[in-house]
Amino acid sequence: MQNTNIIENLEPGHTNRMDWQEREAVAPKSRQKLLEDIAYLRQTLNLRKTADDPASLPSIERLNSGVTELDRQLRGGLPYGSVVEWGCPLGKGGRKWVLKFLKNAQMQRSQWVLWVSPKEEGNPKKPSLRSLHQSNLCNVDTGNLRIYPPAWHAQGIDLKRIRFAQSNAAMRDFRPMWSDDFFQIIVLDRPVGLRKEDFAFLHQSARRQKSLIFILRDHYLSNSYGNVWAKTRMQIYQDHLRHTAKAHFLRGGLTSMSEDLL
Amino acid sequence: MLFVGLHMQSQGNESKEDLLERVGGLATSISPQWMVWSHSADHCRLLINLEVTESYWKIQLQKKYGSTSKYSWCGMLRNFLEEFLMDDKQGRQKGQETSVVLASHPWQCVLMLEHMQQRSLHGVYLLSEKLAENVFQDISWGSWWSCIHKLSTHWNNALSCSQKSKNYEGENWPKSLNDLRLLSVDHFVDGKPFDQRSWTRSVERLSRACRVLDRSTPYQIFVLGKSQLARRYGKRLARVMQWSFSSHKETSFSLFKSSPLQSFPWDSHVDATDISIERNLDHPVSSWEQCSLALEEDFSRLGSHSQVDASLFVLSLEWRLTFSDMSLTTLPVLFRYPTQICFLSHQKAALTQAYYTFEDMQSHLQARDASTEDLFIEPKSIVRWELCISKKMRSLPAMKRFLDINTASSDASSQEDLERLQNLEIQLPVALEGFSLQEDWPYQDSYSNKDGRPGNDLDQTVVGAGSLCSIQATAAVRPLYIFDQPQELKRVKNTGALWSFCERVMSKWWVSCKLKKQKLIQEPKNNQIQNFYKFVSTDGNQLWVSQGSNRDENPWMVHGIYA
Repeated sequence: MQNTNIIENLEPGHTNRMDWQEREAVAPKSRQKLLEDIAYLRQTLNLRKTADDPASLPSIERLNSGVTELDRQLRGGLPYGSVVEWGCPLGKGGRKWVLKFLKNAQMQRSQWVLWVSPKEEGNPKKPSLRSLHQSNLCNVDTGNLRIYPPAWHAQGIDLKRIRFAQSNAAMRDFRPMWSDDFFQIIVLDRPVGLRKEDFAFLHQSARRQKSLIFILRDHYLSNSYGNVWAKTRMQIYQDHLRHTAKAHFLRGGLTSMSEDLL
Repeated sequence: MLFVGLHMQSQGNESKEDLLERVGGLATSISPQWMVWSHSADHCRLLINLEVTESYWKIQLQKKYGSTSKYSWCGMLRNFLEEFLMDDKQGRQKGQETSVVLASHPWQCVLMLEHMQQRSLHGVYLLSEKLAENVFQDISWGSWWSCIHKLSTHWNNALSCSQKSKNYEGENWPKSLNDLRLLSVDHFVDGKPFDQRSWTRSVERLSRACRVLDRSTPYQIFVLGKSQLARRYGKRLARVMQWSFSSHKETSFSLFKSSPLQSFPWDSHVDATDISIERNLDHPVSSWEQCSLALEEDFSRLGSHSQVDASLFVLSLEWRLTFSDMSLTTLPVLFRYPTQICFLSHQKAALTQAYYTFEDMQSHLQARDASTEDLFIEPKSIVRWELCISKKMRSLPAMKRFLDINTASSDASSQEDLERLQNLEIQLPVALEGFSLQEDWPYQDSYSNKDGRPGNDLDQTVVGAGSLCSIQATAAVRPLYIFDQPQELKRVKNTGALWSFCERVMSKWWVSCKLKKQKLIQEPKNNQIQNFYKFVSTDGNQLWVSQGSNRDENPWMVHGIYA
């Protein structure tokens, strides 16, 4: 029974320092015993150390955003070799936060970025997507949308080290790319027809190439549909009237909701 | 699109054929698409289309001059050709016998080359540059008529060939290589074939008019405007006038919305050397898995063909399939960059591209089979194929050596990156787009594709350090995505929405006025001032909207979406 309590306290995202103090006050003599139990459990159940101490985490390369609160929540940044699923409806401002990560990847590590957008022509899912957006984007048709590079440059993106592509079958069209580590950051923006097997493949590819793959969903994520292959599942809610932004982590964050990022 | 006009004089006792071989060899090392405009014992004049080798040249020039060069790629190409062709080491007398023109239309190259010969000018001219532009506008009637005469000869050849083919319709027409080539030459203007008599009449009318109106240069006639020219001298001559003087900046407004080669008698040179290999299969195959191994072996055989070496750059291959029912299909294997098929990595890229095209064919066949009602359709199986290099360029050793001399202290890692990127790109079925900033402030003109926007290649500029801050500040309030065509904003009376003013933009009135003067547009738009706002709807959607200065007449338009 005692061991079960300890496991609960070790769940990521739970701060257990106060519990230690309480326990010490209640039963100071049992502390040594508890520490031994923890060591035993870690060894046998292969549990990771608590998230309170980032230094104690295994050394995974992480890509930071430069936003203190966001990086703190992500324990220093997004881990390379993983897939990040991001709820990012078009027009809500989410992509600006993604660009902060890309900017740092380019500036700090001189990495190349590939940004794949859906191809509008012949997209079988287009009508439904469009009708979804028509209600959200003031009846604006997103069909003839294209990148405006100077704005990306103004956000700190080095245009020399980013390439844009359009595809509705990213898994097929970029087949040679998945086995090559040239693009260390790959962003699949509003991907079409991505299956669970594809996620598993992307996860493997990211791990093998030590790259970071962003999947930007055109809707906000929810717990109803999980994704075991994405190490981080998050979204950022921005309130323009109150000038606040909060990150919501469904997976991979210290807490489920961050402090104000602005 | 960029075209190069090349005029070379014969050297010493050089024969006509030797001259053509020498100049043709030079043209083939620039692009496989070139035509002989005029050829005599003392000179040879070629037109080169850089459409298919543009990406190759961009990369090569960037390697040579560095990515931070102050020139656009057209400027770098001009510099390169100047250094290479006028170099003493190439065994030529400096600047004596070579004239080169870079322009957005082949007709401009022809006119400029003729004009340069008449004024004894030599060297390399980029027509978008001020000096060349001024020289070009001074083209005399003498040069003009000389070129017009040659143009009608080309059109006549194409016409007579097409008439010959019609006369032999249904019979065995002795098609020579020359006839086949001429059949593809365009001589139609607005759907009408070339007519020598009406053309002569138009030319005579224009000739009289220039004397009566006392117009000393053709440019002075051009300013009459397109509709006036078409009414007075016919549509064909008006088209030629437009080819001549519609500058690259105006082409996007009026002229080259279709291919610049439309109606132009482009008589592409056909390379007679055939590099191909064939395979007869012992067992018919129908799936990729079955044929991929044999095909890989064939690409390797093609790579070690006696005529294939590192100087040969392949732009496209043809995979000619023969099915068990003896029907034939040709699948194109296209490359985004010219590839050296003798290298293993490029052979792999060719195999990948062959896979994409094979997959497309399979899905096409499956769709066709599904649509037929016959239940006993036998799947098509391949019994034989042939691999043939259809488009190629051969780099001259001297040019390759010259390209390899890096004048810029370029970063070795960035060069390596570019090569890796290029190797990746040739394996993909989709294009990877790169962008660069342009020194211009209206949002449509402030960037360019790495391959250049169509028709605007000569327009590309390099952003100076002084302008960069201003361009960045302007772009900071603009959205990440813009619309090709702005859309009307319908739900604007939203009380809860948030508005913030971004910028006020005035359209390029001087361009409008110039176009109006040249009758290319009717009236400059009244809507010259636009106010741009960031509009945030109550549900948090951020749009980039604008309204013209006259609020009653102009609706709110959405130009882009923020992130």
